[in-house]
Amino acid sequence: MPDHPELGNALRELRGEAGLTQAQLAEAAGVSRKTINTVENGVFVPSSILALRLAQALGVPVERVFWLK
Amino acid sequence: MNDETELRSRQRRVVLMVMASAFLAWQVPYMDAFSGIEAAGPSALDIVSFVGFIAWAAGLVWLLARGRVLVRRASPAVRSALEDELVKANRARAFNVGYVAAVGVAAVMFSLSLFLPVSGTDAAHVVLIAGVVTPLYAFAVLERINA
Repeated sequence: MPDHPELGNALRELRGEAGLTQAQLAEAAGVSRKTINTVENGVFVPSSILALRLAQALGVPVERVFWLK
Repeated sequence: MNDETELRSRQRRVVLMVMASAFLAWQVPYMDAFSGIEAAGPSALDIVSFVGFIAWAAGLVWLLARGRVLVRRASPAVRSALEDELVKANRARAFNVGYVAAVGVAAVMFSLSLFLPVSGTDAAHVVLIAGVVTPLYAFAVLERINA
């Protein structure tokens, strides 16, 4: 069940475009692979710090990764 | 890094589940409700309780030892991943579940005491057990979800 139904994210698509696995993105962001999985599935809403770290690891602005529906 | 993180995370889940079960096995036989059961030597309940105590103590020692090993050997990345914000959120949720369980059990015990003789010691004991065991199980289950 989504943790916050208003939050959309393109983490999976952007990670795919960057050619990264969940484990590689997790390592780059300093979190566990499970955290990446739960964020991608909308189960867990990351803090603004983690959202920025994920965007930085993917090399895109944070608003491309997360947005309000 | 992630293999090590997942291995340690799985170990933590298993130890917490074992510790919760051990605490139940240790404490439940001590309740007043079981005090009428007499035996010549150590009863089965005494043995279950003793085994539960040993398992609980072993779990605590394991957690302490693991903490030291983590500090000494694991890379900062693994340590960070094992205590990332999902883990902290799961821990907070588990404490919430424990609080609700303890209050719920207290309400049930109070309601029961209106109709049945319930000792104050047993009531406090059940609330204590719920307050300790429920967060341990809840954290292990939350960590298992989406693993």
